[in-house]
Amino acid sequence: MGLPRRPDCIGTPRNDALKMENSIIVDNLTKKFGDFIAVNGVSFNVKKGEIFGFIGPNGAGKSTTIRMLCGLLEPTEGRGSVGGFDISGESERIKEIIGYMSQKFSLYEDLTVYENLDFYAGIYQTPINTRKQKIEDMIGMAGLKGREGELAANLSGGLKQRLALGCATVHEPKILFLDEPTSGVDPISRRNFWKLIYDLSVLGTTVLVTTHYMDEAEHCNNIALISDGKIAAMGSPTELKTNFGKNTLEEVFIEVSSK
Amino acid sequence: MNRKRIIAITKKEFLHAFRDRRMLVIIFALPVVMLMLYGYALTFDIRNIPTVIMDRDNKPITRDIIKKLTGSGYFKIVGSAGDFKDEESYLLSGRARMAINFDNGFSSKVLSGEKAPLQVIVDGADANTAVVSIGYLNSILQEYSKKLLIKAFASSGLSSADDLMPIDARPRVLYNPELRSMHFLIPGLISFILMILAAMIISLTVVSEKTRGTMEQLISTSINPLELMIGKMVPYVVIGLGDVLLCVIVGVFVFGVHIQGSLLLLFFESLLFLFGSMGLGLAISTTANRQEDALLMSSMVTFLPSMLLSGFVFPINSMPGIIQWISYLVPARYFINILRGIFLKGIGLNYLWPDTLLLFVFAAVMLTISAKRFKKRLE
Repeated sequence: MGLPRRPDCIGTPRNDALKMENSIIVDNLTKKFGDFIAVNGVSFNVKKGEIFGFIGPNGAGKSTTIRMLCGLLEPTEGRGSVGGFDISGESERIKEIIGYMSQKFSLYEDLTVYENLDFYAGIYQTPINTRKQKIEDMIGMAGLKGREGELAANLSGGLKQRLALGCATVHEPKILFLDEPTSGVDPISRRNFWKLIYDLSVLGTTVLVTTHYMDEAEHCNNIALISDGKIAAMGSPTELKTNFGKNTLEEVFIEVSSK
Repeated sequence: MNRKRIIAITKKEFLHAFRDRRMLVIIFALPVVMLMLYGYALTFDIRNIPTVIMDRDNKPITRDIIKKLTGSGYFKIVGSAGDFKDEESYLLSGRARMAINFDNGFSSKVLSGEKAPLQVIVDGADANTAVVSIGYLNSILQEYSKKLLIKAFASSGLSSADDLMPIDARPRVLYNPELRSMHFLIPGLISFILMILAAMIISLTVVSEKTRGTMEQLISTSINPLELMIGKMVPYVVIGLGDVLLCVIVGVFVFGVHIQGSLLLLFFESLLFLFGSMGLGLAISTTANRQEDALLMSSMVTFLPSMLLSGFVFPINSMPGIIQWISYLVPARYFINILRGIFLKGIGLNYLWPDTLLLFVFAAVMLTISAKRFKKRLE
């Protein structure tokens, strides 16, 4: 009689090697709203520390997929895991390790820059002793030094976007979901924003980002082109262009979505 | 349950409340304005009924009666009419609500012991005032007739008039001896203000998070629905109890209302009622997706019932049976009962426990429903 084996805790990854490999595993994920199929049998994997782009026009099912992965929507069919946790049964565990930035920069406009960050730091339970420093870091990252006391409502689109990123990453999430983070933001702000995403990725954060800007797709390690709820093509930007014999991703996209 | 997250939500709610001017108005100005309105303008005490007199007799007795009427404080003589036409114009224009006509020979009839008819014309447009003013007039005239009788008997050496009236009602009004409506209205106002504040504002704050998209952000974190609910309720508990205190202060110092019972019990019961109302507001916010819907729903279930069916203004006893039954579903009914008990009668839980228990059930049911309905999923 040996010692009783410690049962695997619910939520611990079954395979540690897999965790090192893939942060996000999606298998045949489907979401129906009544008769409408928003996401139709999508499968893909995202490796740890990689920037994975979900590229497609509005209404292609990008946001719905992200919401299922964040535990905000129940999938109709299929499976998925985020950070080793199952998206159907362990969504609350997932919420502890992810950061999520929705399409609308969900800031409290009647609160100041500092108060917004302080609020999310509280919600994410950042330890009190390091919280102040953490908030200062986020203010520096967002380029909002000296404007801590300004109401979020008075910030420009680009600054709002960076503040929202600060709020979503104040707890240093392992995996970051960004849903159309650059829509409605000027080109310079977009470029600066991508620099921030690179920095996070270098530090080991896995980033899943959706966009309908083809030029932004080039910044990703891997991308999935999504159209009508299905993945039309997947690979690194270079691979895709070579495989389809095109010069730009836009041409690739037109080719695959017209099929 | 995590304290840090509750504190974060509470802090944020306080910031929202104190940064929004409209909210500040609702929180602080509404109670004071309502108290002033009800205290001064919407009083149900009837005084100074404008009265026109047509005195064709003009003798000491008629003048004496007129003096008695004005002296009572209930009637105010606004003029004397020469003829019926003149009198009618007083009533039609609304300058007078009552007309009193002393006929020629009124006093000689009185003095000779005949029945002396006195014509009284009342504007019945406002039925309540009409009924009350007739009542006042009758009791003043009865008192006067009694005095005349006593005088007559005394001068003829007979026994006192009191022996001739076998029944002598001696009413003693308890709990609100001056019968001032303010004493009766303040409890209702407190319940009304708390209901608006708690149910309406809390449902609006939740729904506005939905429309602004911050709710989606919140439910993407590992926050627990109970933490969110508690965090949202704490500020309104503080503000609500602050408003109760404000009402008590204004009631006591401006309107001279006395609190006979325990102030502690008053706050405890207010807390129970607040929790129930906030539970109701949160339950509304789980169904409503737009501010307008939340506003409409919360006014349908809070405003109207607690105004009309709670006994705040209209006595429940005089409502038709089925409405009386419906009023049992209105928590303000129990709360107002409790408040009147504490304010006017000075009674404690030994009398108030059934109402308290029902308030507790209301709070428990509402909070359970909203906790159950509050899902961390998008639809």
